[in-house]
Amino acid sequence: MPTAITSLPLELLSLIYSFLIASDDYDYSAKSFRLVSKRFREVDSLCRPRLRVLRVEFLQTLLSTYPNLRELDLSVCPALQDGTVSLVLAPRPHNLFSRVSYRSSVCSVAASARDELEHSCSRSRSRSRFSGLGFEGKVETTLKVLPRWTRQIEKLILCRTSGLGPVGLEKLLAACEGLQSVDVSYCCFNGDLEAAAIVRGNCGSLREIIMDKSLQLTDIGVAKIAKGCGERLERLSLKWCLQVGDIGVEILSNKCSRMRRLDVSGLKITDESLQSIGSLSKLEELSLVGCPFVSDTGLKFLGDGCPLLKVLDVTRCNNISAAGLGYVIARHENLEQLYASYCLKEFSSFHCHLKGLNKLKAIKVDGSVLSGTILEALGKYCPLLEEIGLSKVKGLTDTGLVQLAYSSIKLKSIDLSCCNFIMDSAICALAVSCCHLAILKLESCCAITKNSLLSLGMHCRSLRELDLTDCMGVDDEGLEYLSKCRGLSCLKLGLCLAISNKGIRSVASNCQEIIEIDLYRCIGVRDEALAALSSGCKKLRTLNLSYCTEVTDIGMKHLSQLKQLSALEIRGLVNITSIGLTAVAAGCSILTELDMKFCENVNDSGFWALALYSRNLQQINFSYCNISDVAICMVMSNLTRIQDAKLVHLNGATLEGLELALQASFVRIKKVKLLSALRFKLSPYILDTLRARGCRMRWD
Amino acid sequence: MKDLKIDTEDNLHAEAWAKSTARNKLPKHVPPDHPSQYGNFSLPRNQQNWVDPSVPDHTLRPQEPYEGFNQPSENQSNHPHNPSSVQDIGLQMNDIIEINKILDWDPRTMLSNLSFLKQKIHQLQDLVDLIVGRRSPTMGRPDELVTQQQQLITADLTSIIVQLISTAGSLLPSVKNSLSAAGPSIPAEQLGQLGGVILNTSSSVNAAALPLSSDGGTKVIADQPNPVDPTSHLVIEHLDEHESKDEEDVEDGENLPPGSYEILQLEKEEILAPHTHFCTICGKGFKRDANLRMHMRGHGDEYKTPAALAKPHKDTGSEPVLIKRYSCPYVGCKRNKDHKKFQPLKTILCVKNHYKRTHCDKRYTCSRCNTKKFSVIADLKTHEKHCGKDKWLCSCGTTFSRKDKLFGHITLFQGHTPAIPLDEAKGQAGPSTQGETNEESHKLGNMNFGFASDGEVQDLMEDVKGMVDEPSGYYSPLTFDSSNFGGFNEFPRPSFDDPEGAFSFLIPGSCNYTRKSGGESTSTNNLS
Repeated sequence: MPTAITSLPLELLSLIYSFLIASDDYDYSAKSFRLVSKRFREVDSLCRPRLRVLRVEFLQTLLSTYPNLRELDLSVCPALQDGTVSLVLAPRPHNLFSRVSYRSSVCSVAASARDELEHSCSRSRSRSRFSGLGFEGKVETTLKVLPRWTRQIEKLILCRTSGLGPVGLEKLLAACEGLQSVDVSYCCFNGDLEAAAIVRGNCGSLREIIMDKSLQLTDIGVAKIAKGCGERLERLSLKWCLQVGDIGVEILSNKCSRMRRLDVSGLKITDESLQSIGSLSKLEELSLVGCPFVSDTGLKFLGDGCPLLKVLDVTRCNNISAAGLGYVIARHENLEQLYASYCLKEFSSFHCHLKGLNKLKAIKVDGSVLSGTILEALGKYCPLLEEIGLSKVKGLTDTGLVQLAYSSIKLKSIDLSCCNFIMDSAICALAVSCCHLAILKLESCCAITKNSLLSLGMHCRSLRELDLTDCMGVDDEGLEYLSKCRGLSCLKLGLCLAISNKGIRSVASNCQEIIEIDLYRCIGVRDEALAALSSGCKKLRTLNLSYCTEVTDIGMKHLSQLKQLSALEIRGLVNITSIGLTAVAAGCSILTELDMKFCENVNDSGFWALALYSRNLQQINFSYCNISDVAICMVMSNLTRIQDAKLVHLNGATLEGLELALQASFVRIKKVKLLSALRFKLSPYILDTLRARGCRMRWD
Repeated sequence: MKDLKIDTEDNLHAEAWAKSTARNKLPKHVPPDHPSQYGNFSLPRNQQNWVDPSVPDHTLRPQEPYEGFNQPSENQSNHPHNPSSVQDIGLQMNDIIEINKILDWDPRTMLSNLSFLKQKIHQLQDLVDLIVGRRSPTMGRPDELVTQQQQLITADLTSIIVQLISTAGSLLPSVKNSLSAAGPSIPAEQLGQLGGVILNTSSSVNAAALPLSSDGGTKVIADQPNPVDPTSHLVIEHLDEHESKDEEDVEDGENLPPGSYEILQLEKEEILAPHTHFCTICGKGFKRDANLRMHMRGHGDEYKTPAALAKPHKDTGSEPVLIKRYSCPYVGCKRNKDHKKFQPLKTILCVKNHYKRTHCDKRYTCSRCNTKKFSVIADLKTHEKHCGKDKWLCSCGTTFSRKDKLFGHITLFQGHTPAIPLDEAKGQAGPSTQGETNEESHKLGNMNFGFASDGEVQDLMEDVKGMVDEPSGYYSPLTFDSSNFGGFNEFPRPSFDDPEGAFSFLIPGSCNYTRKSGGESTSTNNLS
């Protein structure tokens, strides 16, 4: 029966859809949307801008379903290899893995609707495939009719796709004509060949390249990128590309004069590099985290250059001083974010430099020694300050914080982790004056008592995230006060030994927006607390119950009410058995992460239940569990999304069982942790195959 | 000061130094212990100027009695390493060379030369005068303020000395010339006097003055109560190094006026003879130095002394009669004395290498690549060291032995990119990284020295000073420096040699640089 909403024109539906998927959680919203009707599904198919593919066997089908993708995320797609690329780029879908065959019907039904939508969806970008622009040397690519989805792709995320070689990379990039951004980070074996492939595959529109932790990348590769992308390159991230040195950065700065964001964190670059970076007149964001050879001399170049600098990160640059940093910030009045954690020993005279920084929004000085004057100056000169990080700062006093609190009324996020001497008065001042406070981190602030929580509950209505890990002073009464913060979405109460069921109950009944709660080693928490959580916090997605040893199967049964639960950590819960695990597996259908290390009393029937019900599991930790050969094989072969498995010290499983289980999960596993003794016992065939498919192996 | 004035041409230099420093009235205020200080602080500069810059100056510096001076010396001594300041010196040298070229060698030249120097010094003199005026009432009081002022003067003087050294360096040949003209018997006394003058007037410039008296001066200085041996050694080393640069293409910084030297032209056969030791008087070559020394006896009695016959102590006591320059026997060569723009060769070794390289067949072929040919064996050996390591390849097919050369090439040419060798298998960090990292660490060493030296950084320091409104902060140019950078000199010994280690310590979360603490400890050493 058609209702008003189903009969809306496609344009309006697509507009609704675009609002719907703007959230972080777009996968879930999109799924609900497309399940409404065929028409809705068509809208989803045509308008979906982002796709994150979890299983390689559906890649081809998915790509042909969503022809107007702007962003394709293959970072969690296991076993992606060069062959896969040529397969998905094949002119017509071969449906090699086909389990789904509704595609053709959908195509024919909505062909007209699609044409109608094409106009609204496709931008003014040139769609002439055969214009030959930039394709002189790539005859075979141009002659082939490429699948539709390649036309619109702007961003490719290929993180951790270790199986993808330079050939596949080049093909993939060459197919995506309008590609602007490519992310190939954390493929540790990526190097110059991959960089060259990116440059060769680049159709001329590439602006962003992210190559974090490409350990084999050298200056040669950087030079390739610099020469190949030249002026067009606006963002490059070379974080932890340890072999890149000054000379690479120099040619980069020479050739890519329009660079806006540059990340050279962790490189062994010296001041010479900063001299060349200083010549980048368009640079807005520079990250120099952990560059031990950068000194004040280099910062001086930075101070004299880069007129548009807005974000500067010099965290853990051990060789710079407050004066050097002061020189930079004194010359960059537009600076909005400054991260200088763990790099400065002292901040004497630093406050003078803060004078011009009236646009500063975020500052982090974790691990430094501060005086009250700095905080005062921050409050005085930086009225727009929204985020401040003061974790592990020495010399922080209540009075200083109070002054800061009274002048920085726009503060949204403050990190006071491990500031052991912070008292209630400082927190009260923060709560009273910073009414927009959303994120407050108070880990290991031992002097905090319920008074702080009282004032937080009274004043900070917009508090979203609160970290009270290891705060001895937090008790049930405090939690009751805190529960007035209705918007709380993330609450960390790890190691708060004084809290019990009562406190959790009050939080659970009042804060219904909670998405994440951490109860690590809260030994006072029992089954009743879980009952309250499962009835109150229906949106709970992440729950940590590790070492809450009093929790039993009854609590687990309560948890099974949480339909949104996706990450569950139940380490060391010796009182739960297969019954509890079965309940969770059956109830929490979208559970993706499960850590049950040291759950020694769960036996095979529990794992069978996991294998049967928890089809969405992606990460598992079965270390020190009693699991038999059959059960491990069942789990690893049945769970078709498993990508990360920690299988150390499996009591009851033999080598053969483990080999079989690994073999069964060849296609999907991306990361596995095994006992190091097995390194030489496992058959080389298994190890080689895993490696060839881009699986990372960790040995414990 | 005036009573020390000596009329001889040679000592005009000395007088100039004496004058300039007398005007500064520095020696009066220098406490008796300070000469060694100055010696010390000028030491690292020389060292850094002329000795391999990668040598950390800590290792060679003698024990300093006054830490207060250690810092300025460190700071200032770094100065010449800034490329720009080196250029400055180069410029000044060129200026002086110009003057030398234009005017003939006579006392008036010298005077105009000195007045030129005076101008150079003038601004600094004003400053020193000012401080001297301010300081006089507090004389004799070992006040903290006095020390600070002295530090300031030291800093200023250091910059003067940079200029003076360069001047002295440029004047050197003429001094030699006149010295040698005076004959071998005179200088012992005269030089002693000269050295004495220099040392008495201003010990702070003895380092600068040393080049004037290359031989005798050292002796005299060695007798001084505050020996500054390291300095003199270094200066002399520098001279040696300069002379022994056997390349004819090393720029002739001298431009001797024609006629001021003797031109020798060895015959082709003599040049190609496998001799390595040559008589500085007649040019005859020998295979062994001992034979040469035997031969030298024939040139006069002075060569018969045990000292002269003993192992070479680099022409001690006696010296050539005239400055000798050499001409290439190949007619039409620019190095031939009949050429219009004749450029003489400095040493016999230069002649040999020049002749072989330019006018002989390239007989030695590299056994590895079989393409490169050389006529001088040393060149072949140098090449063989790097042969086959031309791993830096451009897309145009050109190979380079050094990465920076390749990068210079690709920066220059449109469309050229570095090529990746095909055999570079995926997933292995080739051995190439070794050399690279070494190169890197060398660079770091250089960086280190170029460090607080920047004139620009000093600007920065001044800025900082301006912001700290304390007198102590104002007077010491180093508050900025010593506290933060002191440890940096120890820094450039990175353990990056093995790439694996580098990886492991940069994995996020395990970033535990212990280097920082090392730097700290050294800085405290410097301070305490």
